Amino acid sequence: MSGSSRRDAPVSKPLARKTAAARPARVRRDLAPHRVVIPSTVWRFLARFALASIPLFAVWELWGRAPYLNALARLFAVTARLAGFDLQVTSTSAEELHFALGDIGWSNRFGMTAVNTIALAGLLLATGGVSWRRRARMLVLGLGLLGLTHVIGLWTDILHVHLHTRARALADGVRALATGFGTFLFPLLIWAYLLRDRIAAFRMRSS
Amino acid sequence: MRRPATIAGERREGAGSPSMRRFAALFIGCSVVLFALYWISEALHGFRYVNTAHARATAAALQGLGIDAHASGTSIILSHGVLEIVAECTGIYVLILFTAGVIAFPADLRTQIRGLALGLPCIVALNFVRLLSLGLVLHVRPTWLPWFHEYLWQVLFVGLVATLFAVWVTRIGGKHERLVAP
Repeated sequence: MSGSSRRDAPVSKPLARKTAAARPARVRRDLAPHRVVIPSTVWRFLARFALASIPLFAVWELWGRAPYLNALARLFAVTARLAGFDLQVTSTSAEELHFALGDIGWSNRFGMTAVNTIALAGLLLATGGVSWRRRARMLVLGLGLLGLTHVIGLWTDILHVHLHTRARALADGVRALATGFGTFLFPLLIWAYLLRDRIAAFRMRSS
Repeated sequence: MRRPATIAGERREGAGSPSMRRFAALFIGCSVVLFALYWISEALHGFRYVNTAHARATAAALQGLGIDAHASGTSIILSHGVLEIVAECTGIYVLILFTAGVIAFPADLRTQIRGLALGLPCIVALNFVRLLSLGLVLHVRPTWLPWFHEYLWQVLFVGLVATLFAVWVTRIGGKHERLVAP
């Protein structure tokens, strides 16, 4: 992609005209800065993301989802009990988690949230210029951090139980932020944080 | 462990630099503020008009493809089932993230406006294609719908928003090898 820097560099009009005689095709592109040319590295990134995430998603759906949700529910229950809440895991499946807190029971369709593990894994695997050793380390660390956000997401259920009669809009909002919007926000944040040197280098060259 | 290769000055100016921290803080701040604005509209039931418009447009497009579909409020009714359009289905979260990323990135106002003017319609269009594809899947192979719904929505859109952001930054910067270097 060495040509891209030349293509995108600011070219004064007289210089562009002068260069046009020698290389008309290249300069024609220089003179049309409004045209959106998607660099091949970006296409490669998207292709690698799809190549990594599609098989991972299949594995997740067939074997990963139900055990992960079950483990997540148990971990959440442990943290809740440590905080003094008598929370019970009623049942778990690949779709829903069922909890009981005192005489209040609820279900959570957490499978839609937890699938962002595949998105994060796809982003980490698709980013180029990273050694496989570092990539493996980032995967372990990233998925651990994302698991933590899932536990926090489940904690908003407890907040919801306490607030739903008094401040329902706030309770719904916090829950939507953690488990709806967070589904997209957290993988992107963790990816940007773990590979921040790649993004910093990118930013420096861009500015 | 050996640190990954960096370009000159990156360690000092890059990963942990004030400008990167500023970008991160601005990005998170903008995301939360935009989410709060969206949530206020949702709580005031203002967002259901957007959901209804999406349902109508998708049903019309499916009819154009020869599929028996019609919209009723926020629902798209097909012969094999019903697609319910909720706020998340409109791509609002992805729109918020892209907007926050563009606002937080250190670029001049004109470039940011151009980025939003190109990126946001692009996301809306991609989301419309997604809804259309879900309608097609529900029509042709309803049992595949959960898979398509989760993959296309949750997984692919995270990759797409990262990619769109990368496209915008490469357009303003001109050198992009370091973000998605082969």
